[in-house]
Amino acid sequence: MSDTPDHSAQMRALAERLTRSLGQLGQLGMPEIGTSERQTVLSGRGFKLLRYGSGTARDRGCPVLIAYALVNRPWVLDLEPERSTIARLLEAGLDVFLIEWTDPGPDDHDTGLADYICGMLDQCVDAACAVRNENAINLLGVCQGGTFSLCYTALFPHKVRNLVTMVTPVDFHTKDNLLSHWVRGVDLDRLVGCYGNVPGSLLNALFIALQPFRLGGKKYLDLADLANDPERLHTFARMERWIADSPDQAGRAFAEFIGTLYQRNSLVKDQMVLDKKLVRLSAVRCPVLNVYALADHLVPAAASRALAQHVGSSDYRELAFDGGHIGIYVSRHAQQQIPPEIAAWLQARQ
Amino acid sequence: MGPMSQNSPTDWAQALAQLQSQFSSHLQTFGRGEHTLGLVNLGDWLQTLGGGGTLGAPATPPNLFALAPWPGARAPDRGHDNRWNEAALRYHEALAAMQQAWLEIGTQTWDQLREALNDDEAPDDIRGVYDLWICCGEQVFAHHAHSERYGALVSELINAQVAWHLACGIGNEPAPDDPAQLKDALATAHAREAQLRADLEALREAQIAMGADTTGTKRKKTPTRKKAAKKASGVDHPKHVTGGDETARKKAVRRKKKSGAKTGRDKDRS
Repeated sequence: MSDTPDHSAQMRALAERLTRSLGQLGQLGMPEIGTSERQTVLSGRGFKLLRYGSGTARDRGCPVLIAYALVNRPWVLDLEPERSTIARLLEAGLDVFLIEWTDPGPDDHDTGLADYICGMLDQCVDAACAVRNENAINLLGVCQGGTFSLCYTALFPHKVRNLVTMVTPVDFHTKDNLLSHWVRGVDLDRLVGCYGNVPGSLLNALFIALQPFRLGGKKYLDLADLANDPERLHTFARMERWIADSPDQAGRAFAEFIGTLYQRNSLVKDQMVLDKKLVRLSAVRCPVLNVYALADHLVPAAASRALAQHVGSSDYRELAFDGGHIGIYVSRHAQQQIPPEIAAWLQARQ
Repeated sequence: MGPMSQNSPTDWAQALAQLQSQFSSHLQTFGRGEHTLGLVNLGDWLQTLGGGGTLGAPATPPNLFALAPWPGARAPDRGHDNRWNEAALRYHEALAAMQQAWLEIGTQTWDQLREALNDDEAPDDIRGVYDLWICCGEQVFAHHAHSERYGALVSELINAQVAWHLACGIGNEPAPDDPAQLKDALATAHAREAQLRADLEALREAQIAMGADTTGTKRKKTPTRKKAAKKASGVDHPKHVTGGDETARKKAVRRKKKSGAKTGRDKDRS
């Protein structure tokens, strides 16, 4: 090929663009995330209950309590004003509450799943109900928080009016669940015995390892395309900040979650026990909206869709998003589709 | 470096390795500042594979599983400690096995890329080829990552690192492990116990509901029975005495007998 371009020149050009992007990125400083207006309604050991927005219109809105995962910060739901699931839910007329799990300290390594689900989540539900003078709440569980919400609804059905699960693993042993496949042989007793609380860096390493080429290489080279595009550079920096900020996990809760669900798949076998009570998905009889992402590499769609076979609700609906696990929170397409549909579904059942 | 062509994939390999190395060093320089990016350095690994991708070459896998810095991670000089030596050996073996798997992934990725570059519509700019390489890499990786072997490698690498840290004196060695089968049996037993508790609770509630129902019926019947008995004994107020008092007495006796039999059956049951 006589007219093939000189790849040294191409590489130089690419390197120049990358250098320019990185320089501009450096000038941005530490990006702010999670900036929507909010107040703390309740603080307890291991959690804060936040309420978003203000004004009398909010007080008339349909209330929803978001339970996010322990493994990342919830700010991906409020990454920036134009990419904020929370802002879109507020715009759609909902009164949004969010549980912010706080980092476990060295003394919290014995905090278990029952403490999170039957203790902290229950306190937040009660507090949100009290604020709104209601006897039941609409619960929106995200990812691991969705699994928590399912367990909670099964154990406290009278406290949940409607349940929305978002990219929530239910069947942890579907064929395409890579994470489940990898951690089945991990010795959790020794892991937790060694570290007490499980370091967030371990989880981060595992998450990146699920898509090593894309997340380890392409994503950063794509930065070269963002030179002179401050808006996209800001978004990139915010995403990076969120991704790198994985909190440590309370040892016992981590071991129970991985052991009970990823290793033994107890939830779909009706064998999950919390506070000596059996968690039966068939006990979830309230209306359920199950939102999942078709290209989710972390929680495969099949893992979420398994809920249909186990839930006891006669009002069960699915909402598929054509994208991935993170895109469902932040992509422009998701912003237009997901929060409005969730809000409409809840408002129709209020 | 001379011009590339689709017939010289080794050139491409070297070019990509150089590109990856270059941009990862840019990122690392950036990462040393006040900003934190979750960097993964594929450069060295690519450099090795880019040199020909020969199996057996000392390729280093990407540091995806470099789990440090973990809290307290350190490598003390405990060369005379057998337990430490064993743990260190186990970790290095686990790492070597992972490296071997990545060498295979890398080699197969290059093979796939080479094939893809023969396509008429293959890109001929470095960026396009890089994206194609990523695509091939993800496909090959997905195939490996879903295998039993790769899952076992990941688990073993984590377990070996934990064992090494424990041997270094980090954290507390847990009580001797229960065999996995016993753990499963315990989990099943706990679930069964919870199931029985739930069933028991349901039975209690049902019994209370039935009891309330029975009590409600008795409340209606009891005055009648008393009335009948009083009528039978003739103690009742004269205004309630009617011409049918003998019949009422007989009915009361029948009810009493019936009631006694019921109690007896209940006792038997208890």
